[in-house]
Amino acid sequence: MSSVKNLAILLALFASYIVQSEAVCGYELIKLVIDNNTGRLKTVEMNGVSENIDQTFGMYKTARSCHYIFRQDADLELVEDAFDFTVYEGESVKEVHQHVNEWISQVIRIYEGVNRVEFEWLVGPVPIDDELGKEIVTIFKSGISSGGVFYTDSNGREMMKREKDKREDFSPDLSEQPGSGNYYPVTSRMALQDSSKRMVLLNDRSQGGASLEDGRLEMMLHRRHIFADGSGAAEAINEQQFGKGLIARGKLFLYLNAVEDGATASERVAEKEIHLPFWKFFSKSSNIQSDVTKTLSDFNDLPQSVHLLTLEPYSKDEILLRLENFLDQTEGKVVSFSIRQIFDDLGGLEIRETTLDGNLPLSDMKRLKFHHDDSGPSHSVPEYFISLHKPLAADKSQDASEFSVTLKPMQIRTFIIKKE
Amino acid sequence: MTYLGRILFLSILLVVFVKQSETVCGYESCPETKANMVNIHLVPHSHNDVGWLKTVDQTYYGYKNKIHHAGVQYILDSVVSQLLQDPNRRFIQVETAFFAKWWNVQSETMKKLVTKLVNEGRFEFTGGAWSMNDEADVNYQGVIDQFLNETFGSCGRPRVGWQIDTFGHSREQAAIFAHMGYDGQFFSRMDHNDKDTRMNDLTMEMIWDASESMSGVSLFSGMLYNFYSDTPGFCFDILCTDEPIIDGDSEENNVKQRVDDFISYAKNVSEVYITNHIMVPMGGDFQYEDAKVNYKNMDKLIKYINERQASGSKYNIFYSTPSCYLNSLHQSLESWPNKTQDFFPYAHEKNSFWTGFFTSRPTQKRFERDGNHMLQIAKQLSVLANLTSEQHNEDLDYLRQVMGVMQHHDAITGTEKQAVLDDYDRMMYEAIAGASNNARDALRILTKMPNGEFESCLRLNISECAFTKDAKSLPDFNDLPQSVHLLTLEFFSENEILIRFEHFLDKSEGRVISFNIRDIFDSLGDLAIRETSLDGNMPLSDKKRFKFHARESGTKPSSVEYSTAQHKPLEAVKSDEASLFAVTLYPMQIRTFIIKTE
Repeated sequence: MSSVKNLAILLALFASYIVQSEAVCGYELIKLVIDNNTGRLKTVEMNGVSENIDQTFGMYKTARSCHYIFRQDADLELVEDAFDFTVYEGESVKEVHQHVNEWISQVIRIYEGVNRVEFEWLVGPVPIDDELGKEIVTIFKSGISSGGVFYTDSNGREMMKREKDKREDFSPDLSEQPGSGNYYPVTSRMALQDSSKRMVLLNDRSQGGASLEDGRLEMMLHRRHIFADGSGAAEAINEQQFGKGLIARGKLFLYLNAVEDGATASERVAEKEIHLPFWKFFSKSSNIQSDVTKTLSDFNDLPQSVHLLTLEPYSKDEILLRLENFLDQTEGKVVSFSIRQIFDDLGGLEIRETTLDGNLPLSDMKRLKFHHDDSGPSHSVPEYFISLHKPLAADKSQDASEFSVTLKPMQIRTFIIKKE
Repeated sequence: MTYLGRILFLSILLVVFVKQSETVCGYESCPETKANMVNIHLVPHSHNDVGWLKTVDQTYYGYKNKIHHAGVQYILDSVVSQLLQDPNRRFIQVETAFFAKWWNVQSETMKKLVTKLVNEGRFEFTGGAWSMNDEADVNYQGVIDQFLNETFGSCGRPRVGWQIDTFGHSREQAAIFAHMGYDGQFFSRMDHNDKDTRMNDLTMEMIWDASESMSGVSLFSGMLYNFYSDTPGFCFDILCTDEPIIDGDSEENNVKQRVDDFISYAKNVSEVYITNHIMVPMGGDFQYEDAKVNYKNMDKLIKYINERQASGSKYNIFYSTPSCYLNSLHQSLESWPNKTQDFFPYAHEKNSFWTGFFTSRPTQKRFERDGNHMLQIAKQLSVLANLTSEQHNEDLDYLRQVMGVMQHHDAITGTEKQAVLDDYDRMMYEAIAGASNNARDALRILTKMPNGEFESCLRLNISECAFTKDAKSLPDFNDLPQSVHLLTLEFFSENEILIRFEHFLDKSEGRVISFNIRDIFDSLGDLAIRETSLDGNMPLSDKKRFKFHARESGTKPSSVEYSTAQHKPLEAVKSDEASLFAVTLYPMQIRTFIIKTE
């Protein structure tokens, strides 16, 4: 009698296991599937693309890394145990809380109407009681056939193509450090793709990133070491807080995208939103009079791909203004617009264009031009570069057409506005 | 006083001086070279990290020299006095963070002398940003920002990037230099296999095509032969122990040997570069603190090497600068190989890729982004609200400068010592706080809310904000029982509030009710509460009224009677338990309290 009952219970459990082997959490734009057995991310659906993405954490244990150098001594150790996890579903935000181990946890988060998946990682104190330093990484493993190629940004601007084990002009010696020697700086974005799908990670600070296997992106999150490199800072990089190893927290943002012309423009926009979100100011009262915003320049009238890179006091009666077309040649095109309204709103009398640093009138720029090996016969006199476009120079009395600005993809132009 | 003000002042001085002396700077002030010889451009320089093993100030003032010997103020003092002694001598000044600190405290006479040196191309700003920025971990916005205001006047405008110590090189940095009108850059760290290959192929110098999106964005980039420090054996600095040049009538006279050795080195260098010019940097970390030692020996080196030309030597040596060397290359009309990718990752030797610093000190790397964010906000708001007070300028400049420091290749990289990081954090925190005041003041103007708080909270990432936490939210009187009327709420004195609660039902309509007023107490004042008589004038505990005897109420009392409060008057302070804040009201009862506020 009792054994029959037990069997029934077992069957019921089995049935529920089948039904609930996955937890699904999503909104209209994004669907996440969590594997109930592992507690890890399993599938992501967004932008009309679905891909199995397994995200986990790992570490390189090493006794020889220092502030500067990541020296791998042994294979990457992945966190093998299943993560404990809980899903919290709200109307505007849904979260998957993952307890990875005693010192790593993560919240995967999606917002209604926001087309990216946020991974808020919390790492530390990194244990060193085994007397080994640790490099802590997170890994996103997909089935995308990336063919040994991935991309990282250069200081937040153009993307650089990285080919595993290769360099442009020489053969690197990767015999002892095949992992470390394939790491690159990621200051805002890294990506890989095949002919149809693309997986992208955006970050909130600079980090090292790599793609050591096809379809796999790896980002280093935290480091703690006990080895003091004699040549460098002469102390180990072993940050402490409250008497323990430093706990670090940060965010990565995942994008899954179809490979189409210009599709990466949305990644750029997200980059800007992450880099310079709205700054929040707190006040008791919110009775702002409705007429106050009228007098401010409306930078929202700029074309969508134009970023107000800098607006700052330059001298007592001058303002420096930098405008950037932040899309590259694959994502966007040449844009033209007038800045007459901005000029007027800022109280402009005159405007002139300068080099990027703001220090030299662009019309005075004359750079040394050197001759390329492969660009035809050598010249007979020294050559110079001057500005490729006519520098903007105008004053208040001139027609609005004189205030037209054209920006090629990735171009930044710098202006100084003299005001009243 | 602000750096901005002072630097603008310098540029005015420069203009005045040019008019007075009509001297030349830039390429026109470059030393003469000889077409049929190997021209050795000797480049005196000092590499001064804006914080590394010591903090910025410790490094500038020469404090804690046990950690390492570094005192940048003395370097500038010493170099300037040595330059003034001989118009042929040259020096390149790289880190403006230190130069500005030094310049600020110079006399007018000294400023004029330095200006003269700048205008004659003898003291040349090279690189010229606030710090020698890292190229791996920086965002372009932070890099671009740190070049403004640090360069001044036409003779003070740097022409050449000098990224000699950064741990690898980004293509965007080259593009930024090109857009800034720079003519080229030099560096000394690249993968050792790359360097070996380039030495073999004579491709140590190249044209970097720095943008895929834009044409014409190229920058001449040169790799130094032997790192950025001195020619081996020729460090004449007080930090070194190499042989000086002994040219007197002495048993120790070593002129022949020293000249032979240097020429042999120069020959090796010239074999891996394609023109008849080579650049030999003379300097290193924090060198030139006693610059006469350096210059005296270099003077001799120059003298004796050039003397040999009379007997057929083909080596011509002179004081020069990186820009003069670059100018010579340009004049050579040679052709150069190109480069399209970048120089990451850097490995100085086998088994040593510098890829850890991409992540080192992750929280500092994030804090730098917050600093940049506030800088952009404060700058924009300063323009929109037209903030011009001295305090505002000073606060904004301070954050600009601190962010310039943070771009340094031992700051954002996380390769500094812990104590130096702590000091960077302190500076950034103070600078952000100062700029937050600017943002607040601007918002007060723009919103016409002169008392608006506009507080910034730096710990929102952990949902912590002192302002919102401590803010006194409005008390919620709706939580009171339905039959309780907030009869009175008014100021009793400057820091006391009078509050009356009334049970407005009579005993046929309602019954005794109890509720707790701890939340109301907390949100109104929160120091202390006491109960009074209905008029608020007398502590209820003091109340003692004449009691008169009613005929029907039994035996007459034997003595005079008084009535006191029929319930225990409420009296409590902040630290008391919530239970002490219980209020019970009988039908129609009114109770009166005074809450003391801060």
